[in-house]
Amino acid sequence: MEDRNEIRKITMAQFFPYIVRMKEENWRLVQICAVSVDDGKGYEMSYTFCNDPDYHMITLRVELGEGEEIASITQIYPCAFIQENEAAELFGVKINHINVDYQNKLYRIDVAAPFRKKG
Amino acid sequence: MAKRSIVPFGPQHPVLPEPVHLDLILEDETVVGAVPSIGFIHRGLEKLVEKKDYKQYVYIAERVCGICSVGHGIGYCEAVEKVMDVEVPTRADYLRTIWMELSRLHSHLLWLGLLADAMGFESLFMDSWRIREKILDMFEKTTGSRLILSVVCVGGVLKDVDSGMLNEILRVTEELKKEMKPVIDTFLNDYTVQSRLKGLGVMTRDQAVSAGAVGPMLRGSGEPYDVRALGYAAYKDLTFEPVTAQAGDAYARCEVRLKEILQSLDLLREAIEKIPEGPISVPVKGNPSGEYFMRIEQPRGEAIYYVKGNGTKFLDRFRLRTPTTSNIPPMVDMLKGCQMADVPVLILTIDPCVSCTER
Amino acid sequence: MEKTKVFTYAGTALKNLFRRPTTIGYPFQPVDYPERMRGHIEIQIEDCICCGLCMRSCPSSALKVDRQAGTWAIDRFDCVQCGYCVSVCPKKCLTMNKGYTAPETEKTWETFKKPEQPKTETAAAGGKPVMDPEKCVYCTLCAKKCPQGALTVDRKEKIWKLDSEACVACGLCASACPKKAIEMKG
Repeated sequence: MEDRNEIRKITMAQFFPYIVRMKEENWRLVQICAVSVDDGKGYEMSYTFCNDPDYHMITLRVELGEGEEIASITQIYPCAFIQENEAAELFGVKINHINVDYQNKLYRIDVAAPFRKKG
Repeated sequence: MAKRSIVPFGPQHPVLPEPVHLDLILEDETVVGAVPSIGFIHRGLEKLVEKKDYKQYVYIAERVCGICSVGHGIGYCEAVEKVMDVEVPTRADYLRTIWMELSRLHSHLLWLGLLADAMGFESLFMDSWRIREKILDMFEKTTGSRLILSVVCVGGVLKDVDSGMLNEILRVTEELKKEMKPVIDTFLNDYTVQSRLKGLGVMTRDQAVSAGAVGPMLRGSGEPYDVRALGYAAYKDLTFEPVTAQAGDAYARCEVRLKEILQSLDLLREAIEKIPEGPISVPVKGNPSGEYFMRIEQPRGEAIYYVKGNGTKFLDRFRLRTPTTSNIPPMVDMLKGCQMADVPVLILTIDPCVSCTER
Repeated sequence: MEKTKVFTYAGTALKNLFRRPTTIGYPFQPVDYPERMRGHIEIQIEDCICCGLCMRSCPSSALKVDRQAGTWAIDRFDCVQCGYCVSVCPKKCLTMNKGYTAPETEKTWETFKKPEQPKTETAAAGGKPVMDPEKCVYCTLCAKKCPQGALTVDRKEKIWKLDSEACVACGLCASACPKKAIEMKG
């Protein structure tokens, strides 16, 4: 079978409608990945979804500038809570309204945002 | 309304091989909610990719977890190879597949033992682990190590397996087929096991998909999603059909894993018959630049390896989304409505691998 | 195909009662390790050129190489037996052998010292490569063999360049050269 595996860059305005559409079309949330870019000033957030019957995998890529915040997708995909908490705690991404927000207590570490690149 | 109480479960508990903590919200004996918390063994291995070069990191990726180790090495290498456009020799692909299937066997047998132990079926537990020992011996003979093989490298594999050893693997698979019979019979048909597992923690197909379940959790609910069907490594040349069960309960998940053991034995036989002669690795020069999301099927389910290179020998980011990370939310859903006494068995049915989850 | 049985396991359990144990009586009965077993690292210190490649490759920083003193040291309890040092060693003086490190109460470094060698031999393995432009055919074989990637060879432009900081003076380029154009003397 052909490995269909694409990355789509989307803007902040498109972000929520896209996620809602994914949910309506019954895509499974595969993973959420945060990458620290520009020496820790910005982030790249990747949300990967998979359509199980045809193994099609799509990654939605949102870029966050300095100080920019992003809304949590736990309202639509409740299962995202662990990975969103992880991104918030290890990278310091500002994610609003995570349902079951662990308040940086998921990994019991002393340092704030240890995975963020220091400029 | 019944009185609510909160019972802490874990991080140290007889059924848990690794530490995970749950706050169980109970109404009398019935669980109405659960809040998982992890973070007892977080080691920050993903960050280490910025300090160790990409060829060296293979050994660290393998040490994320002891049980899924083979798969982590293969997944990471395949991701880097995709980024660097490296074509791996066919023999190396086959050897990777053989080790991957052996590791699936030993992981499932380990899980069967743990499940039997959680049910209090001690002799079945011992028997599963006795059988598993043969696979570990095969690992030691072919690679030199029992769990963390360290034979995969970017561009192929490090050690060749000669035909004598391949024949020995074949002989062991035949032996296993025979020895697995009473074990499979007991797990599937025994009255005690059935009364402990049937109708427990039922998840429908839609629930499983929307909660993001992977691996035997997803297939136990009737969704035939198995990344091996995509044909990475040598799976493209092997006859492969995902194993599913329809019921969606703990028994169905056990059934899927048992059938996967038999399927792995068949895949091993086929791979050993088809393995071509040839080189086992290609030299890799240069540094990775670009990104790729690689997915492979680990014994516990789909795992994602994200690699982002910046043209230097140190990678920018390595992300490993392990199957258990995805399976914790469905587990929490599944626990709602079950009895307190069934919680240990239910937690085990997702086959939790906590050191993978926390990395 | 699915049925419910009772006493499914009774037969096997009974058999197990009268069977010889599956385990062996370790430590009274010694373990038979297979040929490829990765137990611990051994070094052929006479062949070592102290290039330090193993030290830089080690994922767990369990090796220490001192070029000046001519020593090679290992912390056996930090070593994870991955075998990466064995595969990168340009002189192939490291080997993975059978048998585990015996337990101890504290971590210790085990140091090996290179024996003093007569001058004539050290001259061959000492110093960085120098190319003789009259003999060189720019075949790039030396660059391919270099474990550090320290050599850049361009056939068209007739360039042979050495990155002397990356060079570990292992002498692999000199031994690979088909025209014997490289000498280790620089």
